[in-house]
Amino acid sequence: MRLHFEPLACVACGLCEMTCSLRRDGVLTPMSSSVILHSEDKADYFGLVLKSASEGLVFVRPEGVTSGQQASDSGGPGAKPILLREPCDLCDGDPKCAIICPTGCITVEG
Amino acid sequence: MYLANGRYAVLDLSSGDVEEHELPEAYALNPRGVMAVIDSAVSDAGSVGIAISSGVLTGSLVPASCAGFIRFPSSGSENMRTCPLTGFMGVELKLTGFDFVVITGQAVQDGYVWIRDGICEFVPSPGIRELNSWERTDKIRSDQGDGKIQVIAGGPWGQHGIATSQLTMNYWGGEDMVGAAAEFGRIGLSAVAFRGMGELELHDAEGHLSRSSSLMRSQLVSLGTNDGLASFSETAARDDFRKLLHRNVGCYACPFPCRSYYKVHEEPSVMTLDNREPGCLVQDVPSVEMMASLGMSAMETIESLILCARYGAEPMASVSALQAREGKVDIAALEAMLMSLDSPEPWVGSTKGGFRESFDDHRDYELCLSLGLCPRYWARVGFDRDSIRSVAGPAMGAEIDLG
Repeated sequence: MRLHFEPLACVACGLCEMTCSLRRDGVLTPMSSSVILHSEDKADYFGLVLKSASEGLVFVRPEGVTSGQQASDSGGPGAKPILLREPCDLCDGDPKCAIICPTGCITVEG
Repeated sequence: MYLANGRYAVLDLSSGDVEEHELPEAYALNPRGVMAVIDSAVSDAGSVGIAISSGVLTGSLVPASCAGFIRFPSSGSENMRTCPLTGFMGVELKLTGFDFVVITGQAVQDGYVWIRDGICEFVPSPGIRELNSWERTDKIRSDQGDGKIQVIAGGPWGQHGIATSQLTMNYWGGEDMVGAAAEFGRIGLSAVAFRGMGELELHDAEGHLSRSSSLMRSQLVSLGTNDGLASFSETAARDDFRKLLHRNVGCYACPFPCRSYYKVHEEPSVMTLDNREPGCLVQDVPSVEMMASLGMSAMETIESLILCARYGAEPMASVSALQAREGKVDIAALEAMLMSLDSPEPWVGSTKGGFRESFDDHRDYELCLSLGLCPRYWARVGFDRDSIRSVAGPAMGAEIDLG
């Protein structure tokens, strides 16, 4: 099982990162999620970064999905960098981000 | 207290002093009383103040729980004015550790209010009053080192107290139709910035997720296919708008975006981050419709909205004044007018499609904002109190009072 991403389906609602943290820690916060919404709002450039257990970092950019690279920016120095976060555990087989994603940007395959 | 911080701050710009106050336990369970609590806090602040607030369900998983609001007394009367906050403003504010902040007094130096991590303070920033709204957001984000900081900027028009000024939310306009920018200018406030890195507890996380997800799915079925701004504006469905469309963008927790980003300084289909200022995020339905009524093209409309956002000017008043004076709207002439700080008459025509016009009953509008829910979304899907109680219940551990 793995998460599948359709980058251009993302509308930057942020529900995936909030739901991920909720499942992990039982609280609403974007600070402990394994997935981060990255946004350059003035240029309308946005996408997701996932810390996966099997593929390293997965970058869901508007121009496509890549994996395995180091994060150069995960929300600024004031935020908790993704490299310090726990990797995605696929919610033990029932990924909550895919359940809550309203647009089909995040789905489950395999 | 679930889904709430249980406290608010009062910042006196004159002295820089900050007082923190506890909120009563019942605060989050009584959305109908939220405005009264805030109005009382503003009144208690001693001089006329401005409250910047999240709502009871802001930051939850309830569909479109993005909203916050600005609340302040109308000049010369006891009536309160309310400006919605959308995007990520509401949730970022709530995660600062305060449910709302009241700003009072008079700033004696250039600067902005900075709220984060349970801290609320006035930060001196020499020269910020000379910057336009976009530059203020860029500067604050750069100085504080975080691109996700939310900035409510007054802009040059607000700084000069022009009645038809408009607050710019990060970079975009359209929400402030009540003169909040002029109020910022009156107290010498250049901007309010905040970043939420806290957390909100809830009673039953699994139950809240399950019910919120189910409600969202059922609402999406009734809403049909989303078309961004064009789902809310006939004009945005025109071919010339579609040719400039880059992407549709949701606010926090919104499954049915009303915001579309149009690129006018770069090919709209470009998906890489090449141009840092390629266009404009538009949610201002009344302005788009008003400019269409003047025969303006999509390009002229977007360019006008960008200029107005930079200067912090209300677009309908500005464009209609130029049209009346010159018989047409030329972008260069619009910029010259905005630079001149000539105050136009307020727009008195239709504001259909605006946030405030989402509901026929103003009490529903204010209750929706008190809940932290987007009025535009909830008016579209139906402001069903039973559904809201159902999704809020697991989060709050009790039934909220919606009358």
